Amino acid sequence: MSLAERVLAEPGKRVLLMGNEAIARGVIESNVKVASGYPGTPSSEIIMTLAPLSKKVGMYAEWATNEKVAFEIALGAAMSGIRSLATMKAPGYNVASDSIVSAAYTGVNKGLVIVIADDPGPHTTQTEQDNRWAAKLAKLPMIEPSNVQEALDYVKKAYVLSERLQLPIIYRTTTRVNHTVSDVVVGEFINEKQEVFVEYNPERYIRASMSWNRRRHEWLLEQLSKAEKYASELGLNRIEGEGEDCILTSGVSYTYVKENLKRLQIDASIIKLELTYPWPEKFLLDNITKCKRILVVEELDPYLEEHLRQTVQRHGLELEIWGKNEAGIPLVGELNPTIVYNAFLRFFNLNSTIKNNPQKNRVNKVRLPQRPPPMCPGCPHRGSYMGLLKAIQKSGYRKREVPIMGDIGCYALSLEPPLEAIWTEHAMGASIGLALGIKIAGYDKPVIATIGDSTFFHAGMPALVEAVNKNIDLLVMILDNLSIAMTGHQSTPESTITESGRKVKPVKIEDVVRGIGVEYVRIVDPFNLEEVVEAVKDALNKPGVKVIIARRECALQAWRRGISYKPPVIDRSKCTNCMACVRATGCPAIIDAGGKPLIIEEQCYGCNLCAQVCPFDAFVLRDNPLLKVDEHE
Amino acid sequence: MVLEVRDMRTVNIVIVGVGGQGLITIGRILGNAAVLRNIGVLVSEVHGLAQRGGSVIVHARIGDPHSPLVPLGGAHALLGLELAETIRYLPYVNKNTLLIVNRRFIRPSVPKARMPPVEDTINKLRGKGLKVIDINAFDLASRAGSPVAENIVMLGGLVATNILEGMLSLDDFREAIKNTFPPRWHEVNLRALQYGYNAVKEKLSDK
Repeated sequence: MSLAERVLAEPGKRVLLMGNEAIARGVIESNVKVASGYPGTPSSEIIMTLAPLSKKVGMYAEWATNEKVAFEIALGAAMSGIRSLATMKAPGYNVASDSIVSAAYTGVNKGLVIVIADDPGPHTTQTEQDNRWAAKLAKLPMIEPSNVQEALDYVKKAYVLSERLQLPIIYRTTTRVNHTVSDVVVGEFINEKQEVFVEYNPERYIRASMSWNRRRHEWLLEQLSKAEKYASELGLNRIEGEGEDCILTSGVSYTYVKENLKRLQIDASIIKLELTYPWPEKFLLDNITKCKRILVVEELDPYLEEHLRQTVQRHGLELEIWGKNEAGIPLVGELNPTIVYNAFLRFFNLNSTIKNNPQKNRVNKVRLPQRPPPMCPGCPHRGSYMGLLKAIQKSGYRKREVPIMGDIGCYALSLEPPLEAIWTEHAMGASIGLALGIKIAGYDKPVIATIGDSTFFHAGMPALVEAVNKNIDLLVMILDNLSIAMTGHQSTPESTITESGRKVKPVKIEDVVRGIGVEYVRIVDPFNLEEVVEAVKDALNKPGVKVIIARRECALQAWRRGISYKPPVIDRSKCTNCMACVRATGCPAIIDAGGKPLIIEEQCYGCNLCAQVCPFDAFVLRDNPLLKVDEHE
Repeated sequence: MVLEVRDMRTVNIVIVGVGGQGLITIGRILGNAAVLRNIGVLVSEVHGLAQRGGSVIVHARIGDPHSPLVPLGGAHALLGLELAETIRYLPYVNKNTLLIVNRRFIRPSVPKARMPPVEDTINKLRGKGLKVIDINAFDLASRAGSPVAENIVMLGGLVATNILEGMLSLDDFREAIKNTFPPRWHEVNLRALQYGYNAVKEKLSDK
């Protein structure tokens, strides 16, 4: 079945959807007209699902430059009477939060849902940021679905709640909801006409008057006081089961609770929270009086636990609370059924009745290799970093004298051997800012910032403005692979067409950089090692801000479009088996096969980098992938 | 709507291998087959950087699952597309788990990584008292028309066991494959499914 057949299936049908596809379906059912976001695992597939269907369902669904812009697009639409959506991964909230926090004072005229996808584990995120605190900080109502069916169904409830409260709703998910595939029953499409209107209302929209701001804060608290009642009218928050032993939980943790109660055949009352901000105190008070003991099962921070302890203390309840410490539920990493099983054994005072005897991951004398994800064959970043490192050496510096700041994207894989190139990977766009700090602090050797194309647009530009304005000696290499490769090849501001099929005006990085005032701008081909080395060497000797744009399409993308080159051939009469080609590139397509280098032809993209590092000229080139100077532009 | 099937047992399948071997596709086909038969299903995947050449685990649960993850020691079957990854994820198996493994190591792209001999490793797995069925999925897939169909050969191997008995049949998987791939890939994948199925059936009848 195609994406459209599954996601747009007739109401009432049972189909197979990934959590993010289910959220997209809920968004379409809710008649949302504007959807924006910035790619980030585990949130990306929501917009990736909506964009190709957007024409068909009459929606604007496209990527924005960063999460703040994405949220502002959604807010602008919702202020103007149009249902809208913004999506982001956990740290994306930090980028958007300036606007999100003010939006709580402004409110909306039509539903606005902000999907924030947290990543306990973490699987693919720099921190295990628990964004339940974000809702509390911003004072915005938060809904947490537990599984794929709820992820679909609760979108509609979120829009109704948003409109009743006139507030944006934070829809907080985690990786195991976003990236679980499940059978789900799809619902009805809402078909209500929406009209754009822009309201002139200074007190509401202008945050320049402090007395207005105080009044809007009071308004916000008044709205929040109704949230629990409206949520319960929508059927959010529920009790399951019977007994004086109670379990308080929310999100995906609920599924581990259900699973283990069934497995151990225990009766307990499950208090499942779905509106987790504002804290549904009335619901709790109505339902915890029968409890003698409460076990709190939640991932990451003790958010539910701290709120529960406050409620119990405030109302002087006699209740034994089992939180993180008492139950031995970790603050770090994601939960799983085994951790919750062990917590149950403690809480219910059971001996392990079911013995699974998990096997140890050891087999006699077999050493398990590490398997870090490698840079792909033909990855343009390989040539960029090889060139940087060689130029540093050729300029008379030692490798660990010239810091190379990294940034967020596939090029962070240059941390692995053999390159071991980057010294930092911190936050979107931070490579340039951190490099500035090192220079300003007084470091007298060169500092290099490396940053991807989309990351540069996202948050690198303000730091480059700072560098130019303060005239700092700094080399910035922009690694332009013409897509947001790491999260699934989304379009960037340089693209000529969006995922929804709309032709758009590309914004070229060189134009931006020159416009900011950088005088030294060069464009190089990362497959041309000599060109990269020469450019970097030259730039390292020059004062002020230098920008080198290393431009070459992501090989995976190019390959999909049918572009690849003939692999070179090793001339065995010249090859001394020195393995320089294998060691310098770390390319998966050239390996040490029993003491001889071997090119795995089906994997080789034909970038010829291995040939360029051979000290014995032992490679016969069969194809020339190099771009001519004018093709760079 | 389909409450009767919600009462059935839950089968836990752990699929492990290297990013790029098509593990997520196996999960999707299991999911599609389950939906065709109106059986509950959860498949938990990991996306992002980890897909490319990294270590990958997919949890598939069929029947009446709540948790998207299989508990440690809780797998009824482990489908190992690569031997080192099979060992890495052994904590999901117990002595009764059926291991269907591909006779193949994939060398990680780190310098100096050495891979142990295949036969020896499989013997050592058996030496731990584990139930191991080994097939050469790569060769069978190549014979079926494409080495890329290695994953489907392995899936065929799973179907040949009694793990999904009474839930999903070989025909259900044929149908699910047609639902998952565009028509030009049907023939080679259906052949790969059959080759994997036959190979494991043969191994089982030997015993």
